[in-house]
Amino acid sequence: MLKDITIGQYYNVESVIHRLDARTKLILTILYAISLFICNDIWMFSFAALFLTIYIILSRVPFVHMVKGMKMIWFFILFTAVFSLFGGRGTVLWELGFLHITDDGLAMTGKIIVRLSFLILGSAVMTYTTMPMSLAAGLESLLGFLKIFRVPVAELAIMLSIALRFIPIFMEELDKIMKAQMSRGADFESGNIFKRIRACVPVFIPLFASAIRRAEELAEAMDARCFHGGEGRTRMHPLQYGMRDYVTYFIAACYFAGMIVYRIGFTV
Amino acid sequence: MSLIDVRHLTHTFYIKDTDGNVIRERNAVEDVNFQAAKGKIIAVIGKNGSGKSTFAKHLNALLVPTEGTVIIAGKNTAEEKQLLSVRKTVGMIFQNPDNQIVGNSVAEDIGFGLENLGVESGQIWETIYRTLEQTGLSAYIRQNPSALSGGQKQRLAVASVMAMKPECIVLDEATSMLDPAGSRMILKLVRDMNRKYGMTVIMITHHASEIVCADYVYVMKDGRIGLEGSPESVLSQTDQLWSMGVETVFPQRIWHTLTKSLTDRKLQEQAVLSMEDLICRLRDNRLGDRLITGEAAIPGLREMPRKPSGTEMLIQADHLGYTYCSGGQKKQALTDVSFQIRKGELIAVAGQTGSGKSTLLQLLNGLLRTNEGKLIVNGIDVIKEKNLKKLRQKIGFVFQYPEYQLFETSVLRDVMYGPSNFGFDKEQARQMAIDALKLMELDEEIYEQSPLELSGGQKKRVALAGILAYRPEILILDEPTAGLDAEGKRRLFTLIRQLNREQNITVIMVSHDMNDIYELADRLFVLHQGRMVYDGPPERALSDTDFVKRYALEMPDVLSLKLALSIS
Repeated sequence: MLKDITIGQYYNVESVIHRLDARTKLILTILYAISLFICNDIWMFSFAALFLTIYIILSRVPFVHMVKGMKMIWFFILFTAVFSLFGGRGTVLWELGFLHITDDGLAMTGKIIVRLSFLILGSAVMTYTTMPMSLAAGLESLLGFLKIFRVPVAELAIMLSIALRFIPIFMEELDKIMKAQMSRGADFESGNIFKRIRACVPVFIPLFASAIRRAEELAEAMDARCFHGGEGRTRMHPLQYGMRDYVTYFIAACYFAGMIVYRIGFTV
Repeated sequence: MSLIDVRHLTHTFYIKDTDGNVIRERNAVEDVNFQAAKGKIIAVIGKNGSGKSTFAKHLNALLVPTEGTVIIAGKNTAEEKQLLSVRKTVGMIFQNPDNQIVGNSVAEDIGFGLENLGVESGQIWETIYRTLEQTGLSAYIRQNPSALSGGQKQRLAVASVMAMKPECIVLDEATSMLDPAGSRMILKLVRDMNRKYGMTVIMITHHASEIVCADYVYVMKDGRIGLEGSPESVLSQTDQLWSMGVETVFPQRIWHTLTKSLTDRKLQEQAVLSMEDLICRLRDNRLGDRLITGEAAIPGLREMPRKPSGTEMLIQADHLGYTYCSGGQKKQALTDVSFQIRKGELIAVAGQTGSGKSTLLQLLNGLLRTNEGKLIVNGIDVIKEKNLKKLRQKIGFVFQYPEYQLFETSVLRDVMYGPSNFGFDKEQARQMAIDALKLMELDEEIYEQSPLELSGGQKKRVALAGILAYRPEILILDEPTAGLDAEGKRRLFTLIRQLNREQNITVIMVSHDMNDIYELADRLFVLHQGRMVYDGPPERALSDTDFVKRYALEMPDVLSLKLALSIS
């Protein structure tokens, strides 16, 4: 069910990862993402897997919950993987017409699947353990230098946080509109691709109209509560580094340095 | 001096064409004078479209007057520099709980307004804890608002406004999307805030029962104040209120019916706002007998006329169940439900939120699939059948707020969508659509208009036409009266009754309002925690005080009166 998608939603438990400063988690996530893209042998991937495992365990977010919350994304990964499966060069292992699978292609597919899933799990831990407002504040602080280029960083950060809030609402609404149109005889499951796309119009137009209506109402509600942009706003979650953040930075730096040294020194 | 002082307020909406030229203008609010003294509860009542929401937005400077002035605590809302100060003085609670919650947790949402005011972070948290305590939400501090019930969400909206310490709080139809328990909770909360902290409250509503506790009442019609005064003086004018699209409270309606034909005008003009008062008066004046017989008899007091059920079996459910997965856990939404429905019955389904009502409805036309039990609808085995189109054509399913499903470029095409899907050719579909639009009393001139540009009430009727167009034999309605005012409700009930009595369409409707159920339904299902706990005539269950209490239902007003007067 669409309602089961929980990615991007805060998971309410107490853990050391939950208590980290949002900036620490953001930087950690970025470093981890880069490290995944320099991984190119089984040892590096194992090391990255170990790091991720510890990270997830410390966050105390149940693994099953994370995996279930990302159903759509798993589908996307699979989709990408299938493309790369037929795209490689090298020794041909299997052939059917113009389709062929090679050893290179297979290895590449494996890497893509592992990289993408690790990447998504890694960033999911961040969103599961950080209140969106804090995340927004963290982003705002890290990207604060853009303000001199007149980028409205604070407003963008609030937008992001609101977008996250409305994901479950729109999922529920999508479900309801689909059901209502199915009751009126809509058929989303048969016919060719064009027919199916056309069948989506009666769903997306009401969803779009509802998004506009909600946006208008929300804007009014925000105005009514004295929202007037980022200027003069204070923060309920002030960003503050503690000991655990410095420790985390140190561990992250060691991990990242280890990866780079290994990559340069031990692999071809 | 009054906290809010509105003089000769007029607000004009200009409808412009694509080049920005004004093609039409309309006064949503016209020459309104309004005062609210500090610490009072002031109500503004009116039917949908009477301009009361436009008026409300002026109190918070979301709109500024076209003509006239709005002064809030000495500040003119038309002055740009006063904007924040005005909004800090007057807090707003809107209709839709979802569209006013900004935060991703309860605490965050309360913090949002305080952040906007530039409060220090330590103090923000202090205020959050205190406000949660005051509003009874402490247990939910880190909850995601999406996980709260409608009533709790609205409670959060009140809390978030309260935290900003306004002097006045405006509720713009804040209870209209809530169930009765939720509405009561919000009204009580607001009254507490008024009593304990001297908060000035402005209530905008279309429910007469909500204004009884007010200190002063304004009635709006077509953008103007049509009537004003104390609740007693306003609500006792039954006929005049009705001409403005407002239905007065139940005791007053009964009193009005009873005294209508009496020569004593004074008696007729008395305010009877509470049930206790009504009962006292009935005893004193020996008017009680008139209730039951004669021209002033109240329908349903002795017995509601019920339609005898037909013979043709239409729906048969045996040990029906439904289990769903949520967060890796299996949950039983419906357990062992069995019933039979004959053609032409009018059935209401009641039960608390989460009791399985929606699940049951959605199983009937295969929107939800199950393999627990047996379900035959109109001869089709819903559990085994792969192609459900034939079944869905027989069932018209009216979701809550059906107007939100309109999508076509014209009204006519939208209504034709159903018939076309079910295989009727263009000409047939067109004719069916026109028939349905006529049945819904919609003018021909709107056929080519975009459905998205219509008024709320028209949209709802177009949406209903879109379902009636393919001529279903079973009509399922989920909370059909949600958001309707008294007139809209009367019209809908007339339609439902007409479809049921004249065309023998089977109706199954979910409702939270026991008055509606008692008035309309011939048979009642009560669901509780996924089980069917009652199946029978509405009066038997709803006149049983214990039963009503056990399943958190409410006794219909007529039955309460009957019980109090011990009429058998």
